Amino acid sequence: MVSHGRAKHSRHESLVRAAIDSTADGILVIDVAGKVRLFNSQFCEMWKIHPEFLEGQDDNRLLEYVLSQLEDPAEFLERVRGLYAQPELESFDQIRFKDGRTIERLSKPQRVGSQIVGRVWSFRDVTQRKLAENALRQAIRVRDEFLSIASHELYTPIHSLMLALQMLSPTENHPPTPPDVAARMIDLAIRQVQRLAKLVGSLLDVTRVDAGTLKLAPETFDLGAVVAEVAERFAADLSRSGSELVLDLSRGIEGSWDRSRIEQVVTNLLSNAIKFGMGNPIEVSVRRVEEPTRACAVLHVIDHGIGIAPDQLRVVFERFVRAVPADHFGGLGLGLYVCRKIVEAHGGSLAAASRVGEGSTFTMFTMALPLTHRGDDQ
Amino acid sequence: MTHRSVLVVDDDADIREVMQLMLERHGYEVKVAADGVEALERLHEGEPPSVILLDLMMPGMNGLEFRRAQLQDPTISEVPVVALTGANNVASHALASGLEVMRKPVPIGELLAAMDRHVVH
Repeated sequence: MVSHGRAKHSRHESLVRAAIDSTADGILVIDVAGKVRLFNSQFCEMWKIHPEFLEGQDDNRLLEYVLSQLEDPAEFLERVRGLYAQPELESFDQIRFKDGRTIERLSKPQRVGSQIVGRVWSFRDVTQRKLAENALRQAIRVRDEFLSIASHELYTPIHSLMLALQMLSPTENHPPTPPDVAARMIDLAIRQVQRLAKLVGSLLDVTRVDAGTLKLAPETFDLGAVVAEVAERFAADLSRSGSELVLDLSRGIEGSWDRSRIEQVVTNLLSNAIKFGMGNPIEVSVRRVEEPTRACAVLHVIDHGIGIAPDQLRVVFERFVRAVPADHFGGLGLGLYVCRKIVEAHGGSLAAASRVGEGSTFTMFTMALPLTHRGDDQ
Repeated sequence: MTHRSVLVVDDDADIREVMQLMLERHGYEVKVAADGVEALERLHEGEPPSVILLDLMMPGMNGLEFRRAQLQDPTISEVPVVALTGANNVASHALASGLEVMRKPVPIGELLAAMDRHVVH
């Protein structure tokens, strides 16, 4: 009888052991006298406690040991004491650790028959879930903000376009709009269509880049010559802004790149430099940089304008990010993101340096020069 | 016909141009401003206009900030305002401004009707 009882007992113990060891949660059982009765290795790992320290330990000493790990030890202690004062209660809460972890804590009384003999605590690490939830919330916020800006950017030219066309419509105007006003309306309408085409282009680009379906059509061309061509198109904008353009373009730097995409990057960088350059000179250079293992084509676009704050500079190449408030400057906040992806698709990289009030430097490194070529710089 | 005048406040130069030409053709005397600060200046030049067409999203002083400043100045606080926005969260803009907010694009007919509703005859 005795040996049968012992076998049953050890079988029961093994069942409990196997059960608490098989869960991902940390488990701790404290009896009514405040002594540790049972725990699993997950609990020890979670709280960074050596198992030997726990055996038969008093819960008060255990509490002292763990408090230093918590963000809000006072609240933690208060809750534990409250539960020990009311042994019949169940509890559920979240504990935040100084090291950034978030742990869910659940506790229930342990009963033998109707008598409460202790309390079972279980702990679940939900840090990853919390981080994912926060990232999701942030992504939704960024998306909503983007939709609001995109809607503003799209409806503004649509509004002008519609009014201009209504001014030209014979059914809306009696007597008809005089020819000089009509001519201004037609010019204005054309400008709105160009603005819309550009916006739609940006939206399509970002979709392609995100889907990884950006296709490059490489051809061999002289980078300096293309930059000079793009710069020429900005003559009117430059004279409007008052910025002088200083070009230092080495010729003969040829590579196999997608011409229209590289033009797009140069256009974007130049247009930003004009937009944020406060009328100060803008320097654009194209150089060949020789390193022991490779040669690069390097484009610099340097303005001396408003500059970018450090926290904005870190994220300036991210999607939907604008370094300035949305209602201060137009644009979808997609330009630099798309540029970065285009340059990366060419095996190059795009970098920015800036000081608030002093201006910004955007640097495009592109793999070049087949003589010393290597496939990739990553 | 009674004399009607309007102040068009919008940061977009093309919108200012088309609205000015359009409203002049419909008998309004038109002044324009590119942001809230300029709008306050225009309001203090001569007679206040019969109505203000106010874009909400502008650099410098935006539409809501302008509206707050306008209401605090008894010499111009009574001038009625019709607000316009291209953003999709019109309801929240309307709530924040306490104004009727029209979403761009607004056709000529609707714009004139809204101005008529707010102008004190």
